Amino acid sequence: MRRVHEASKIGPRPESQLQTRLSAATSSTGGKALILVVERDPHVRELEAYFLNEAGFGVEFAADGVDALDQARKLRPDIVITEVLVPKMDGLALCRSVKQDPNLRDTVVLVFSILAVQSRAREAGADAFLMKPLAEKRLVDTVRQLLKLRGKWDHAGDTA
Amino acid sequence: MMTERRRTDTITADLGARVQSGNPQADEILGGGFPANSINIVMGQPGTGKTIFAEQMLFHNADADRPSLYVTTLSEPLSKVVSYVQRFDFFEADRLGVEIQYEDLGSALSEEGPNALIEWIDEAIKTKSPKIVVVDSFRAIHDLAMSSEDVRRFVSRFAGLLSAYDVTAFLLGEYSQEDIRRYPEFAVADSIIELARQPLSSRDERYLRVLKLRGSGYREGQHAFRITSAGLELYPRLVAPRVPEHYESLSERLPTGVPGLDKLMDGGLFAGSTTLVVGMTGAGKTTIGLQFALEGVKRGERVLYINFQENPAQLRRAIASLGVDPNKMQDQGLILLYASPVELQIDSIVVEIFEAIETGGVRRLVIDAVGDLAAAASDVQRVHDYLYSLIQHFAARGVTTILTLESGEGFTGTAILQEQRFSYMSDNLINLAWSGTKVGHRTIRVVKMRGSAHEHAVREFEIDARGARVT
Repeated sequence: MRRVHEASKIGPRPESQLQTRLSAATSSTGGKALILVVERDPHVRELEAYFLNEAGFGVEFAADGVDALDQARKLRPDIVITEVLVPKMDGLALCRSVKQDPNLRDTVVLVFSILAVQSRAREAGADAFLMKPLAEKRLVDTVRQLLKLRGKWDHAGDTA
Repeated sequence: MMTERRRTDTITADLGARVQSGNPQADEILGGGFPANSINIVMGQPGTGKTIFAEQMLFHNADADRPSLYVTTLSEPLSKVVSYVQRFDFFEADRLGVEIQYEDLGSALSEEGPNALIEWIDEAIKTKSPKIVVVDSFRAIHDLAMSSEDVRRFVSRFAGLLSAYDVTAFLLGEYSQEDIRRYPEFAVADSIIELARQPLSSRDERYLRVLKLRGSGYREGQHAFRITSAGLELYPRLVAPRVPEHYESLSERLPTGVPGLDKLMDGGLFAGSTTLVVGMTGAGKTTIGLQFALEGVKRGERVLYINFQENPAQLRRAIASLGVDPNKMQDQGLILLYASPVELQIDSIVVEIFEAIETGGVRRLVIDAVGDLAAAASDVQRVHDYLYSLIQHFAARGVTTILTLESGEGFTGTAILQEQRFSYMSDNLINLAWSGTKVGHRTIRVVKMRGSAHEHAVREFEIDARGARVT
């Protein structure tokens, strides 16, 4: 039986059935799309990592907003998925910081929270908002859709 | 670079989403059902109906895409649960194994300890996307030797895992009232439902009660139920209407059908009022009730006469002895409802009364006698609560009611207390008695009449072949 993961990082998993359905979910670096998950709840974090890995994404973690911003600047993830309620800097402030950083303008932010703060998330510049609890299909579909949209934006930028 | 403005996708989980119980009455009590993505406790001693309640819900919510999981732990063997559920109408064999999956964790739990449950649920979430998880019995987990600190840690991890994911959990258990304070699962539960059984001499009374429901109103108190082949058949407890809207406007006087009595009562009974007629055996309570009923039928009203002592044949004879054709009366709107006091269950009789009033357009009602109702119930306070809310409903609907009550059974404390309580909830009170001065003579006195200048004197009262009359 699988044990609950306490580790902050979960490495890539072998290709799964889900991944074969994955299309163009790759970052500009050519590998699999990288997702930075900012989450304090160990159960949500573990399940989120599991389902995103299963869907073929790379996952990194941050447990607070300050660490998340540092990591985002270092790793340049394709997507940041953040809870609002995280220590040091809340998820909405993190979202604003990411959106204001010229080096992170291609980074998509998904606010994933137990709070119904969709309008505040929109004001903070979030690209999408999802409410908890975690439902894997909803989460993975939203991530895929965001990556697809971002692909279009990139394309629009290239031809402009 | 980015020429388009990015659109914010917003998907908000419905905060008010509900998981229906598969039982419309239970959903009504719960204000629409269990909250989705919640942890719920269904508690009750063995044989109170927890498993049936859970199974009924699972079959109702069966979903081809997202299975419901039923996990047994240490108390109930899985084979028993599965074979028992087949007897119910809601059972559908082809849903088993796919939409509803059973798992016995008994041996895993005794070998590996309580974490086997958490690991199993974690695995199930990742591989099956479950919609509902039932753990039967969760209380049995406490039988695995654990320190109270271990228990808290276990419950916290268990609840944390379930809350992280889009799943609704039900923890069944043979919990007692003391366990609510003792065990940490009650603190994390979003709802607590109690099922109870009270053995009486001839039958059992079963109750469902909501002890906790986060984020929603619910119907308080004990709701009676029966277990039938359809599952739990519930009778939600009546709640007094907040605004008895027509109550004040009903100034119409209704003749009682008893000659001379209307004069004592300032012209008759107010429409929508309740009158308690108290008297010893043979004092004329049933006769007054019948005359009041027949007067209503003659005036073209629908009338419900509820009786616990005389069966319909006996009652029809009593009507015939008043010189009235019982068949004609029944054709013209008299409804006779008889319930044997032995089989009487107050909750089901209340449902029948209500159906008759709602669907039959009943304007007059006689309950002969309310003491029989009280005697049939194990909890007299409940009968009073019922009658009080019934009377409020009658008033709101303009139904004029006579309740009869047998008095003076040895003048016991309970009889007097009953009289006081029933009279308190009635608008009017009429006392029937045997004369102290003339042997064989009856007397009548209007003791109380709300909003009316009634006569207070003790009057003589006769019953002969034409019926009862004030002389």
